[in-house]
Amino acid sequence: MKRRGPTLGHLESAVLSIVAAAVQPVTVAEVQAELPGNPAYTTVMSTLARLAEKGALRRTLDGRAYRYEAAAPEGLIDDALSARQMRHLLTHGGDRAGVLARFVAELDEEEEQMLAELLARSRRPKPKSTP
Amino acid sequence: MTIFLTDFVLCLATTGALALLARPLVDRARPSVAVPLLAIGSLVNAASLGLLLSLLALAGLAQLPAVASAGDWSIDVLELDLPVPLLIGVLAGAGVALLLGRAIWRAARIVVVLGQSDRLSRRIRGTGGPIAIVDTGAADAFTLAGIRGCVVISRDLFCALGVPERQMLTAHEMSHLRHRHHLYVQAIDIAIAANPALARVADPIRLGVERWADEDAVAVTGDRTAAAAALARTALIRSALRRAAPTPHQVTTLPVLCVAASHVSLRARALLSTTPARTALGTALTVLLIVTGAGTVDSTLQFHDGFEHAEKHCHHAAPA
Repeated sequence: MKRRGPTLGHLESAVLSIVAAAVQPVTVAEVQAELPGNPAYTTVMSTLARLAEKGALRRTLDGRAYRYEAAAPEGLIDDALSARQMRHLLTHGGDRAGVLARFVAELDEEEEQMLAELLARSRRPKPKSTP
Repeated sequence: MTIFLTDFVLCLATTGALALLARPLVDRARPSVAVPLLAIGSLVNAASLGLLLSLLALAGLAQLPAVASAGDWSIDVLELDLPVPLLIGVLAGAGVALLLGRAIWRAARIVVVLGQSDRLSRRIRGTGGPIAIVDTGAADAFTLAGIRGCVVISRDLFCALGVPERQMLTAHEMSHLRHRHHLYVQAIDIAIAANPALARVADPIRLGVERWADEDAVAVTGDRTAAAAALARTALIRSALRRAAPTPHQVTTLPVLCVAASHVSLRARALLSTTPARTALGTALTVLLIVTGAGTVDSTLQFHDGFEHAEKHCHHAAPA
């Protein structure tokens, strides 16, 4: 039985985000290094393999190790129907009906300035004292 | 009737408490606790109000001989046990019909749009994974709800971001998908249709689901300051890209986005402050919700007893 629904575990979700964010296909070790909390190599390896089986990741053999990349159906939105449907949802209240959750919305000038200041502050070197 | 009146006042007080405490709760408590509490609480509160108004309508309208004879109730006994003036009954009946109609209409609309969104997310996903990098005109990133749903990121935006920003973005959107955050936003929409006095809970819930996804993303980026910086940088890059290449179907005209606009800086500031923890606010609200729920059940039972007492032919069903 194929599993339905976006019921990915927490680790799967984190692993998927890291692979998707990478510029090039990544190895298990690279994913492991990015994950906080030092998960075991074998745990990361089996998570990646599971995601590849589910079709969420594509893997290619590179030498003796697998490299993983996001199996994103890139460019599919170019097809006219999807593009029209998307525009329809975007302009006809997709966010009012709650089906569409944007990462960030429009910024006003004041907010842009505030965010720029926040960034400038976070760039300044600070004593590392996180517990 | 004193029990009923107490419960009715309690129900209205809960509505007030939800409206007033929603924002402080989202600001202080863990969003993964605050959002479900507010959404479920609002639905329960709206249902309570509907039920209490229905009881009032039923008792009031039963004074009409036609209704009384249909239910085989004695008007004299009813007047004594449940003294609800006819006018109050008519008003309550009209009110509950209007509110219920609104809620059903809202729910139907949500189902339709959810269906559209589900079909679209299937098309976008195809056989691939949940994250789709697409060539749309405008720089944007969002999660589409659906049975499986998907995360859509425009190539312009994705290519303009650094790796930490991409991680923050994808982890944030995956959290929306994983926890089905759209359900909370839709639940509060329906609750507001059934009880318009809950309107002030909507914005805190929208902020709350974003905060929830941000907190989940911190687990991937590893550090709150880095997450806040990634969020701020992404917002600024998206803004700059959109200014550089405005598209005809830009969605800036949607009124709802103006409300959401102020959220980015709030979210960044929340990430820079300490990790949210348990608060007494959440506990207090939970207790209030349970008391109101129990009160509504109590009132229902009381009205049931009243009607049973007023039945002319005493054929009480034997307790099972």
